[in-house]
Amino acid sequence: MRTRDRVALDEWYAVASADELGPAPWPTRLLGEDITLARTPAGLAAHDAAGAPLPLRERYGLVFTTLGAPRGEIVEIAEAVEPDRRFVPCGWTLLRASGLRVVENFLDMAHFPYVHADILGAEPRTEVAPYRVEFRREADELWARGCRFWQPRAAATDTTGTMMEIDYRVPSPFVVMLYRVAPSQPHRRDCIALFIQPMEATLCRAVPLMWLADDISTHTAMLHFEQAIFLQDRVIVENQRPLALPLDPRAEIPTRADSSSVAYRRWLKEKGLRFGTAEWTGA
Amino acid sequence: MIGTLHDWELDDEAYKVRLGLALMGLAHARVAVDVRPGQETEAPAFRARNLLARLPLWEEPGGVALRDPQAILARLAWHHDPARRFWSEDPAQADWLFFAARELWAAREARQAALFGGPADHAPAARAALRLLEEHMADRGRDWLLGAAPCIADIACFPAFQLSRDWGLDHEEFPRLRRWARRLRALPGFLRMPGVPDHG
Repeated sequence: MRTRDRVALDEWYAVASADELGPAPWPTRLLGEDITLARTPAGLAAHDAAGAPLPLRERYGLVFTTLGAPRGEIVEIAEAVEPDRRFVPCGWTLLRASGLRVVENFLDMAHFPYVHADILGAEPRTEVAPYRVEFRREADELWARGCRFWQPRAAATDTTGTMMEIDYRVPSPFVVMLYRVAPSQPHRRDCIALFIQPMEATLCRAVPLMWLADDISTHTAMLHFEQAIFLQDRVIVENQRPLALPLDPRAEIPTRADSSSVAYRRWLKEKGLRFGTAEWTGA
Repeated sequence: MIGTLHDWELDDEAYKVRLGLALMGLAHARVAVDVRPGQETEAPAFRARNLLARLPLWEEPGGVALRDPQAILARLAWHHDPARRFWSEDPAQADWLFFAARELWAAREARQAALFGGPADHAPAARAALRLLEEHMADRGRDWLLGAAPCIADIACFPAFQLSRDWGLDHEEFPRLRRWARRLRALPGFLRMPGVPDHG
């Protein structure tokens, strides 16, 4: 049954890759409801469980829809129009967890040395240096800026390790991005976005898209690097309890390294989002 | 260089071969294949080399081309590893290789569905097959599937168990398989799969 959470309903969600839709009906699920997409001779079409047509947008190689009335548009990604960027869509993966947990895991640097050992982190260099959290009220976005972390192999091109600099951006509750120094072009930033399709409160699909400044790696090398990282994250996210994200500040004890997580939960609470939170009661 | 493995790090069937190559210490070439989302295994160029349109694919300079991971493991252990350390003289080795290919295929399907979506539920059949493996290991308190040393049957059966958390099956109910997997992970040259912790 479709959630009644207005905040969740009034967002755009990526629900398919544009190139996987054909004339045959393509069923999927969004916010507890069955929806169906298809690409007909007249163009893209979608309808909800009751047969009512749904609005559609095609961007970044993905198809977006909404079950509500979004106030904003789909996030603008400036790197997407830079002609020399290597665009790497990484494919969809299912996760048995709240999409909010997936966002929070993406924001977390403290797990790098343990979950992505010898890739995005390595013991004993486990320190998360202080960084700045910004609530950008006008754009209604959350940022964590000036993040720094020692990464032995930050990207497919990196062989020596680097003190990586990262900015994180959360443009909407189920979308999270990062900008990191491109290891082979240090004056530029790679951009990685994770679009999450909340299917149920504790079931989602996610697709990472990358716009990289990398003239060296093959497409498949960049793809497989990210896919292996994402599979490592999936195991961790699926094993967190509860599977939903608690917004009550007393539910889980944060450390200083978690200030982006604390800010994210606060931001969700201010918005009044409930779908996928531990406080959600099922409607 | 004895051959080339067409590979994807996330593929459990290709992992059997990677693991075999690593444990036997065999130098080889690797070609990364964009299975998802690129669907390179469906493309004519790949299908011409493996009509099953899936990984793994093993090619040797002399023209040998194999596509079944059990067949590739047998080729590596018999033909390429001079000491034949992972070849068992026990004829039941073939039985357990077929067990890996047939009974444990459900674990592959369950994992694919859990990761990428899919209609049917293969988890009960996969769990039942792993129960059989657990039962076999309980018999006379074995350390390995056959006899006193690991063989390619152990390698072929390992990913189905080790990766079961990917599709939501915990290892708690398989105490003997846990000990067996721990022994296998401790072998020199052991190669991890992404998302698989070194412990437990």
